[in-house]
Amino acid sequence: MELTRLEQGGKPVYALAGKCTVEHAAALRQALLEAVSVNTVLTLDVSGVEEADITFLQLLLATVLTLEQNGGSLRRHGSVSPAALAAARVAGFSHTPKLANFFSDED
Amino acid sequence: MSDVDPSIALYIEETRELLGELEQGLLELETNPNDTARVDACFRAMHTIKGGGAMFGFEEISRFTHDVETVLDRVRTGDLPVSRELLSLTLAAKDHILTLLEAPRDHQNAHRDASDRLLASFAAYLPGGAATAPGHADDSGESPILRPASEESEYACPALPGPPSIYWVRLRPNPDMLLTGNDPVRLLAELDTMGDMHVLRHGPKPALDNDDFDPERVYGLFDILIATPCAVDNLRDVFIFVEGDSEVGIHRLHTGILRAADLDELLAELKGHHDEDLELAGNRLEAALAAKLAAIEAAKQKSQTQKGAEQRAAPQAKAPAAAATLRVDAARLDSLVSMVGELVILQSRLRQAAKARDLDAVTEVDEDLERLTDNLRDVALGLRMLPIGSVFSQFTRLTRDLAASLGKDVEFVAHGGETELDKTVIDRIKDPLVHLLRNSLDHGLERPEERQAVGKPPQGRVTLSANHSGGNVVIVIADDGRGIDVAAVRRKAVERGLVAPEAEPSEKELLDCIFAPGFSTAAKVSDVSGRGVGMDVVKKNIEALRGTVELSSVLGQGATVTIRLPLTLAIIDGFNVMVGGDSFIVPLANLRGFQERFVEGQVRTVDTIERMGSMAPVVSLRRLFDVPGDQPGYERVVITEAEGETVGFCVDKVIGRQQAVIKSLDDCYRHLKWISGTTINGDGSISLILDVPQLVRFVRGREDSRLHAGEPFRTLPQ
Repeated sequence: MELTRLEQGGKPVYALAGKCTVEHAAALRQALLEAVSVNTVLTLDVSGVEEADITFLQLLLATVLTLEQNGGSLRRHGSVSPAALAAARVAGFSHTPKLANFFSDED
Repeated sequence: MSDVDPSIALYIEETRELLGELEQGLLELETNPNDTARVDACFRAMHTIKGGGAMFGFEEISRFTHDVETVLDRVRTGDLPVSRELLSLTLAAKDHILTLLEAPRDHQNAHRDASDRLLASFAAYLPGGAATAPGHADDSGESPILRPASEESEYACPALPGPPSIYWVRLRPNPDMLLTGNDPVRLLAELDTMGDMHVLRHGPKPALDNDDFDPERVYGLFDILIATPCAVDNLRDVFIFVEGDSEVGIHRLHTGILRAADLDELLAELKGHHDEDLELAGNRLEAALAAKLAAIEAAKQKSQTQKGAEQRAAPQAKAPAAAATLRVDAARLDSLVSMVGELVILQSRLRQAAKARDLDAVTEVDEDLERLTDNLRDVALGLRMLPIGSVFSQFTRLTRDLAASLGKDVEFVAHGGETELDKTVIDRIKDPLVHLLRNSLDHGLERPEERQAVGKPPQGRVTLSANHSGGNVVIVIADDGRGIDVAAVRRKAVERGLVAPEAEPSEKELLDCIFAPGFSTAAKVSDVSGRGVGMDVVKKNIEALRGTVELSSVLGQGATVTIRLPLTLAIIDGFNVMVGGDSFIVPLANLRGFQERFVEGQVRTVDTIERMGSMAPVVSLRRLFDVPGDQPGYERVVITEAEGETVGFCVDKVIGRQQAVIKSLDDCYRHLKWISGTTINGDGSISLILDVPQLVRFVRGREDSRLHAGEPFRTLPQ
C-alpha cells in the first residue's frame, strides 16, 4: 500500500495504490490522519488500488466522517479501480450516503 | 401542440415513430426470431426512447423502459431466446409507453401502478429472473420457451426449478473476523455470485480520528436481500466458516420476482434499526413485504379492471386527434421551393409584360402560370400524401391480438401499402378499417376445427389491399371465412321492415341492408362485434370522406368489403358545365366524354342515348333539379362512369376544364349527398361539385320510388 501526495493543477491529490487490506490498515489510517490534518478537502485517487477489503472501505467512510466534522469533504480524482469498486458494491458502501458520491460515477 | 416546447414535441413525435418501428420489428420477430438485425433495431429503439425520456422530463418512461431495455439487451447478446411470451410482453410495454407518452406529463405517476405490474412480468427475464437463458430453439422446431432455471444457471450454484426466491440474509460480523482470515467483503462477493443482491450496510461508523477506532476490526452489519434460483444451503455454505463467531441469519422472504427498486425499498425499512434482533427485524421486513405485495396485487386488479373497461369502451371511443405534424420527403420540399422560385420569376415577367402592354407576352405568362399552378398543386397535395402502409402495419398487431383472443389461427396479408392517400383520409379511414377487420375475424373466419371440418386449411386468411383506380384509392378487405348467409340477411331485413316480404331484392341490395343502423345477424354478441352497431357508422364515416363501401360474399368461401376513396379532399380536377344559370363541376375522374342530343317534345328526367353501339341512361339535370328557364332544343351530354356504370348527364353548356378547390357544404346541406362540395369560380360565382356515384344512386332511388308509386317513369338499369 502506498499513499503518495501529488500536485494536480496546483492542488494536492493523494494517490492510493497497491493492496489496501488489513495488513496495511493501521498504516493507511495513519497516512490518512496526516492528510486530513493538513487538508479540509481531501482529494483521493484510488485508481491504483489493486486489492481492497473491509478495512479499506471502513477507512474511507471514517475519513469522510472526520472531514465532514471539520467542515470539509472527500473528493475523488480519477477513476475507481475495479477492485475497490467491486468491494464497495458488494459490501453496500457504494450506496452508503456518505460515500455514494465518491463512487457514483463508477457504479 | 403549440404550447409544447418544440424539443419535447419532437421527442414525442420521434418516440411515436420509434414505437411504430418497434411494434413492426417485434411482429416480424414472431415469424423470424433469428433476425438479429431486427433484434438490434428493437433494442436501439427502446434505448433511444429511454434516453430521450430522461432528457425531456418523461421520468416514468425512462424508469419503465430501463428494465425493458435490459431484457432486449439480453436477447441481443443471446442470453435470452426470442419467445412468443416475451414478444407479447414487449408489445404490451410498447402500448404502455405510448400511454405514458400521451398522458399529461404531470400525471405520469398515475400510470405508475400499470408500469409496476408490467415490470413485475419483465422481472422474470431480468438477470436472476426465472427466464434463464442461454436458450436456443430445440430440434423440434417449436418456438423457444422459457427454460427451467435448473437446466442451466448463470449463477455459481445449481438453480432450482420454478421461480427464484428472495432471501433476507443478515451478517453481523464479529469485530475480530479479520483476525481469523475472513473478510465480509469476500463473503459478500461470494454471495453475489448466487443471485441479484442488494446490500444495506448500517450500524456504527467510527470517525478516522476517533481514539476507539481500530482499523483492523469490523464495524456495523450487513442486511442483504438476494433474489436467487439457488437452494438455501448454497447460501449457508458461504458463511460456513464464520457462523460460530458472527451472527448469520438466512430467511426466505418470498417466492417469486420483485423489482430491484422494490428490494431497495424493503431494505430501507431496516435503516436505523441495526440494534434489533433477527426476529424483530424479520417481522419488520415481512410486514413491509406484505404491504408491498398487497399494493402490487391491488395495482394489478385496478389495471385489469381499467383495461377491461377500456376494451369495452374501445369501439365507442373517439378517434384520436390526428397528429399535428407531418414528415415530408425532402425531395418534395425541394421541388416546392424550386417552383416558388419559378413563380417569382413569372410574376416579374407578368409585370414587365403589363407595363409594356404586350398582350402576347401576358398570354405566354398565363400559359406558363397554368402549367406551374398544376405542378404546384400536385406537389403541394403530395406533401399531404402518405403511404397507407403506415395504417396497415398497425393492423398486423390488431389481427394478431384479436386472433389470439378469439382462439383462431389467422394469417394477415397486406398488399399495396405503398399506395398514397391524403393524410386526412388516412387518419379517418383507420377506425372503419379496424371495425371491418374485427368483423372479418370475429364473424367471418371460422375456428380451426370448423374450417377443417369443411375441408379448409385450419389457418384463416384476411387480406387487406390498396391500389389506385382512376381518381380513387380502392381498399379491399377479403377473408376466406364462412361468408354471409344472404337468406339470413333477407329474413332479418324482412323482420326489421327493411325489405317487403314479397319483394325480390338483388343480393347486392340485401347485402346493403347490413349497413343499416342496428342490423346484425350474429347469433351472439361478443366483445369484438355482433351488436349491429358499427357497420352503419363505417358507412357514414366512409361517405363523409366522399367514399363508397360495398359488400360481396360467397357463402362458405368468404366475404369482401370494397372501399373506394377519393385521393384527396382538397382540390379536384373537373369540367365546369352550366344548366340555365346554375354551374356544376363534374369530376374529371368520372368523366368519359361528351355527346350531344337534340330534344323534341317532353323531356324526361331519365332517358337513354346511344353510345358506342349500346344504350346508356341519361339524366336531365334541368328536370332533376327543376332548374328554371327554357329547355334548349340542343343539349350536351356529359358521359360519366361511376362504379362500373356509364351514365350521361344532360346540360346546356360545357364551359371547360377547371381545378376546383373544394369548400365543404354547411351542415344544413349535408343531406345532399350528391354534392361533394362547392367551389368558387374565377368570376366569383359558385359551382356545385357533383358526386357522380351518389348522384346516380339518388336518381335511381327517386325513380324507384316513382315506380313503386305506379308512375310510368323509366328507371336506371341495376
